[in-house]
Amino acid sequence: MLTCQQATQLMSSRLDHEMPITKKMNLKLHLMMCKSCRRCDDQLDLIHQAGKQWYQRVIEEQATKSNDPEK
Amino acid sequence: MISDYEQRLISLRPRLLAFARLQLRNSDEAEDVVQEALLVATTNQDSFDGRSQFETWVFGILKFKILDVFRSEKRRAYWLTDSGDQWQDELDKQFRENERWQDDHRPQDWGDPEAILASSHFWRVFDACMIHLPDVPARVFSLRELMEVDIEEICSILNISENNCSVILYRARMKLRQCLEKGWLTEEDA
Ligand SMILES: [Zn+2]
Repeated sequence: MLTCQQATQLMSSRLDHEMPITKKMNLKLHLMMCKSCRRCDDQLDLIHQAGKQWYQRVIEEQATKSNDPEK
Repeated sequence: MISDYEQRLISLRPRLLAFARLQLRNSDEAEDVVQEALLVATTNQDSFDGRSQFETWVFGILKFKILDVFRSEKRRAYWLTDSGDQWQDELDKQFRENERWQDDHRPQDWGDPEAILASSHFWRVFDACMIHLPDVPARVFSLRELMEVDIEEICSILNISENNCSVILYRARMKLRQCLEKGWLTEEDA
């Protein structure tokens, strides 16, 4: 059984390349049983998506001022 | 006499500069690299075929120039000089001796991901957290996540092992997660 710290390391490396099947299974098992790590995984995934959108935002200058539905 | 084309480039300059500063984290180098990119864009006007978006094309040139800076031998040593281990200790404190989460460091619920990415508050927090990352993890993180360079290429550009690269990325992401959580779950001042 992975520890939470080991699980977070796998979550990160999963974003950079394919992971061997045993590691994948171990991580899956841990995530099934650990709510905190599930959240962490979702958040690292969100950060990954945000990074991609960030570049596009800069190019399109969707700056916070010009396109702000909250204001 | 300034052509329309040059006018477009000039108006793009502040954004290019902001982008380069965030990547390189050094104002002088950012100025230089933007200057070079603008020069390339000016002299290669013909190679812009109009099929891609003009901005995307110019940013692509800048991206290429920034990677060149990272590649340069002279730059590398300075590049990988970390500001110390203090921020790493801070990260390790999230976990107990048995490597499970500390109760007061457990990740909280952030809500719906789509709503988060549509929120300007989130993007302000994101930018602020990026600026607060120490230089080394910030550079590796922006290469990987903002410029979408794959990890093998980052290793070869920086001449570091893949393991080393993974560790830096892991720490950058976890640090950013911590910072985003704090900022995102804090009500914004009106
Ligand atoms: Zn866990």
